[in-house]
Amino acid sequence: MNPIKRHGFKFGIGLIALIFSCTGRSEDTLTALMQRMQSDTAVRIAYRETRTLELMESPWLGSGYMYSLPPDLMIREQLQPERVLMAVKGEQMFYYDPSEDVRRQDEMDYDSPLTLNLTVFKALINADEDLLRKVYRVDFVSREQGWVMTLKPKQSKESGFSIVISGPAGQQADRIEVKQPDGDSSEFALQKDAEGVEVEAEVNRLYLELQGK
Amino acid sequence: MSRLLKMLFYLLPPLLVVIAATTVNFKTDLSAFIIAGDNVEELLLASEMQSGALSRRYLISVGSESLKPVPKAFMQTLRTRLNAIDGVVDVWSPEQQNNLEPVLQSLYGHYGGALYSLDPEEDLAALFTPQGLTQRAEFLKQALLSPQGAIVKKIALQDPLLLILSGFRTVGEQMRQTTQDDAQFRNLILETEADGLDAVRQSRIQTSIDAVFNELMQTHREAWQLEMTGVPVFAAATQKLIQGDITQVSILSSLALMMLFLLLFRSFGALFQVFTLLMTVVLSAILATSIIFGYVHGMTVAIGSTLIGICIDYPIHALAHAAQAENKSAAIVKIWPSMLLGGVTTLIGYAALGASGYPGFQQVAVYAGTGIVAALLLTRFILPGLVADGRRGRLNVPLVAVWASFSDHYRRWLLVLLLVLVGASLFGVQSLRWLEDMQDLTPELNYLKDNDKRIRARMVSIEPGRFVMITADDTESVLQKSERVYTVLEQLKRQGDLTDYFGLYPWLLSAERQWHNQELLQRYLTDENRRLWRLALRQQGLSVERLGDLNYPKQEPLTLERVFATPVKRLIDSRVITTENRSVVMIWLADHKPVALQEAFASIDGVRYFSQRDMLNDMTRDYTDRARILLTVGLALIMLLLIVRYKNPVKAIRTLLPALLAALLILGFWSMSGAAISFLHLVGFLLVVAICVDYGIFYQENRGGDIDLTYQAMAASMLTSVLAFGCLGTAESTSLKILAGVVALGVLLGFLFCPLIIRPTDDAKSVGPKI
Repeated sequence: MNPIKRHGFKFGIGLIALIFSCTGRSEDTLTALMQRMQSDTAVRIAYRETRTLELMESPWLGSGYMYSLPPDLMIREQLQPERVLMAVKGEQMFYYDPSEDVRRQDEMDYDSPLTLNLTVFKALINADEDLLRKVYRVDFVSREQGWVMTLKPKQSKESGFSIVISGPAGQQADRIEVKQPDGDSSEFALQKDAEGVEVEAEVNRLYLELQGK
Repeated sequence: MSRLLKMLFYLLPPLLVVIAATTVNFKTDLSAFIIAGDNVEELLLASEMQSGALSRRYLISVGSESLKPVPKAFMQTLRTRLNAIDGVVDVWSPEQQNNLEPVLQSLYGHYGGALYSLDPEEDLAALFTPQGLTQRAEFLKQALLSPQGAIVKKIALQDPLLLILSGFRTVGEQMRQTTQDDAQFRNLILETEADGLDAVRQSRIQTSIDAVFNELMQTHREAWQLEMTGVPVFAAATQKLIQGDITQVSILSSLALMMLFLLLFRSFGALFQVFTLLMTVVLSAILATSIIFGYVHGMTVAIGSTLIGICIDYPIHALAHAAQAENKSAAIVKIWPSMLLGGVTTLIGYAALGASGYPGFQQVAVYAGTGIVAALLLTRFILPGLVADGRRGRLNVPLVAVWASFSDHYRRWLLVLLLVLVGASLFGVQSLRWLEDMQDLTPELNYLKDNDKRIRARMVSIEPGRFVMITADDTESVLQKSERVYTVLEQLKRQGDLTDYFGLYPWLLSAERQWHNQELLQRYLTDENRRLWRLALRQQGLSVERLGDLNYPKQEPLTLERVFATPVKRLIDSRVITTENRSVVMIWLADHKPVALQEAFASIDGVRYFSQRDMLNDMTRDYTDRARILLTVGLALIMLLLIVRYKNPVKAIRTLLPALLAALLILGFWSMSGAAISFLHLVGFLLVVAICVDYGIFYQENRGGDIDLTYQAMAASMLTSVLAFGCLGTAESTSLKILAGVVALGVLLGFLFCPLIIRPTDDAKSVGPKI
């Protein structure tokens, strides 16, 4: 497997976590938001990713579904431009590229800057505000129209890297923007698609596929 | 002897102790016993093993066969804590490559046009086609979309074709294999400031590593274990072994000899006199060794402790003969020629030991040689003065008289029996099995070797101790030769004779190859190829404006010094050694067929397939051959000495025969037991001959005129030798055990054969009158 792809799955999984984790209300504070985070049912969210890179003539587009199954399973199924599965369960990360028939499993590595997003995930999923604040400077703004959470790495806050998560008041996140220090960016548009028993069955099927079972 | 002289004699040992304690540098490290080859490359490797970067590294493995893998967070904490240990330079994970990414971009980003290929003709021909450039643009797009896109972007702005990544693709694969090989365990590499063989400091670091781990484990319920290996682990364990042997053997043999002496002579006065003499002998030997070598090794003292058992022979003979003589000084002077001849033959044995070439034995030879000379001189010139006034009982070693009488009565039958045994031994000698694997000499370290093998298997697929060694006069030449070797290795990979190899490419190529690569690339950067590249970029939606100019300006070649100034150093410094006038590149190998590699490089000058184990085994054969020659030369010298002394070859042979037969019977015994014979056995045989011939001389010459007394004195000296070597046999070190076993048994047999082979009555008359 291409090493670049391998790390790609860590990045993608981090984003899934962010998407499922963030819901807010007009009167929300970060603490209150985090306390309400854990869902008790399987959820599917459709996403569209737009990447704007300096070295590409036009933005790159991707789309697929993101799944969450409490307590600790998250799956991202990229369908366009090609199908790729990524997941995180507990401390383990999974990757499966059906076109190349490549599977990989790895433990989350908190040292790696490539998995910086996963630290956010772990913090949000466990409602660990201390961990989140240890790694990121967190700005949480809640207004009538919606809420915005901006995360900047504490160690290099002037680097230009940031993650902005936002959503309508009282609802979960519908937009995530990741800005790289060199000006490149990725934007995710999210829409809740389905939830319940059928989604749970789908998540379990995808998880088995990821494991090659 | 005046009281003043006596007092001076008794004050000599404390004085020598003070001098030794203040001037002698005692060493217990292994440097003196490191087996190095006899060519420049092997010596360079041996030196690297003692103090090079590799020698200073520990491979640490944490985990359990049955439990889930250790979390990375635990390893991170462990790493931080290990890094804080005094004397630790750095700790890192072998799969850690995060800190290499900035180097890839900042250093190697500029050298894409120089380091892109080992086979530029073929690679560029494949790349600069419409299809090749389209595939490259696709790859570039994929890379830019990956989370490493930021780094790829920086590289692509300098190297749009991502040429530099071509070479590094194999490195990525190799690193990934490292992480996947054994997921149950997590590994770390720890580098120390101290040399690997600095066992004292390394022992302290090993204790600290264990302490840090145990402390961390107090907050974890899992039964993870920390295992470590590396040169420092071997060094500390061996030093512990040596120190244990030294202490045990020295104390045991000293006490045992004192007890034996007391039992034999039943006189505390004699004990005090003789052991004062022996202390002077040992201390003189230590000082002489220190003056010649600049230090005294602990192993020398351990092996040299047998010296007491040999040197005590001279005062024993002196005391035994002087005990009931009216003129004690005259009695000692009378047997002096026998003592001198015996001393010289023993010296020949130890000289051969020194010439065996086995590391460290030179010191033992000097130590023993000095001791023997000192013991002879003190026995001849000091002891008579000390014992002049005393009167002691006749020496009576139990069973000695019985054996002498028995062998006299049944000489004929016993000689027949001896002949049968000798015949059987001669027959057995033909099926003698020679030791071929040097590692069999150190089975006590097998647990470390197994541990090493187990831990390394979790980390890398490299076969330890086997590599392709390339040598040249300078770095540029050795890099050029290496590039020719890579081609052969690729061929071997294609044939299935080799799974992988780890050289200096893609981290570095010779300056010549870097210039060549750049020039060839320039030839391909035509307007037509630029047009095709832009077309490929457009097809992938990539920026023609930013990536369309294939601008690869010529760079001064990358040097080893520049690479070593980056974190890449610790990845590849085990693959190259450079000195002022010699450079060696070691290409480490994964699974391979040794014969195929040996054949592949047999005809290439300066390149050879190197197996550390084969080298050691070659040296075992060399040592064995040398020991055979030394045995022959030693025997010839002793024989010559006896012929000169007796002016009668038959008498000389008869004197030597007990010793020779003793050695031969041991050989037969070893061959029948199926045990493999090593050069150490041969060295032991020579010592047997050198010591036993003394018995032959004393028995033959019988200068005291009382053969019973002479044989009693011989028995006492035999017992002390057997006891001294027996104590050496309690050591854990197999080498010492072998030496001790051969000599102890040989000396006993040599003593027993004397009355059978030598006719004392005839000879006694011929030597001189009784006192």
